[in-house]
Amino acid sequence: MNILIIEPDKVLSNIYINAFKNLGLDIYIAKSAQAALTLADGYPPSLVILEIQLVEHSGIEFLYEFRSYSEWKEIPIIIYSCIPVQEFNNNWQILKQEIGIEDYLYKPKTNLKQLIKLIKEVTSKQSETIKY
Amino acid sequence: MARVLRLENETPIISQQLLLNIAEELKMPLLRIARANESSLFDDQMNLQSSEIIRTSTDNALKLIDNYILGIRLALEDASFIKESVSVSSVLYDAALDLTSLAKINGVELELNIAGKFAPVAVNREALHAALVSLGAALIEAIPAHENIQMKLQLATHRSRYGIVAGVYAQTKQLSEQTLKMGRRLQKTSRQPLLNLSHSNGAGVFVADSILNSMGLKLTSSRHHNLYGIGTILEPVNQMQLIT
Repeated sequence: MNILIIEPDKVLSNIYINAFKNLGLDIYIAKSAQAALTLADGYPPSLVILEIQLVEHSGIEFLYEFRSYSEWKEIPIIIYSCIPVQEFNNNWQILKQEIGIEDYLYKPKTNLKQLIKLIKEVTSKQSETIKY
Repeated sequence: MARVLRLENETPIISQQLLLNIAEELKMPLLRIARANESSLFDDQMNLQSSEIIRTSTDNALKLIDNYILGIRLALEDASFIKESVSVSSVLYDAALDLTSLAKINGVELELNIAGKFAPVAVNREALHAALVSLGAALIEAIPAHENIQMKLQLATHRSRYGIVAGVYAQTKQLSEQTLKMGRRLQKTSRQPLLNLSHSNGAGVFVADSILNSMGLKLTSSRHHNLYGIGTILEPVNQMQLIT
């Protein structure tokens, strides 16, 4: 099972690679929206973890672009960002409905343990879906 | 709405927006510290790497705060910041030493290009050093977020027709006057004023800007060989060559 992590910060992405290495998942890290689309094309992800604040194209642009491809419409996406969800105000609900987001996690308030727990939950749901 | 505290003569002293940027920027080193600490608990082998991340991120956060404070003190015209005869090359050398660990944990190769003999400049050494470190740190963190550019940053000096340029250079065209102009304009309204350059709010660039401004200098774009960069132009003081 492939997980695509979109994280521009080099140090944090190294930490994720180390923290997730025992989950039995193949981790792919992209630092930009464009690189993420290319990676997703080559290694279809079962889950996407996204930081919204990226260089050049934002995470929001990535979301719309990603969902525009039929094969990626159902792939769960977790936003794991330095931007608190409150900053989106009512737009968040619109975005959630339009794009379909599994969860929005605020980085300073979500530690690795909590993130791993959520990854496990989402990927186990995915495996069940695949079985059926 | 951003407010600016002013002295009686209307000199801006404390930009709440810059303070807000710094508070936001400090999330990143603190996040790195917290996650590196947590990650070291998963795996004994990570301990050494994590302690390096924790040490460097802490140092970097403290430097950002110190440099911000220095900018404010300069703006308040603190008399202790007198101009002195300074060798630009030696300031760049010291700045490179300060940035080495940060570059290492970000996978950025740091180069120093101070070849050539330049006349000293009259500037406050501590403030120039702080501005270059602040700028360098911001770019070291910004470069790895770009695709298809060399993970190299060069601290360099050269002569131009306007004076001696001291700056920080990389392969990215985003280090341009336009990026700076747009950044300064968007600083009040955007989370990512340097959108094409940095994934963070680039507080370090604005701190460097405020320090240089307070000394009557300017942060500006410049080219060094085939690299793009930002830095400042310093006026050489040839008379001082005799006493250095």
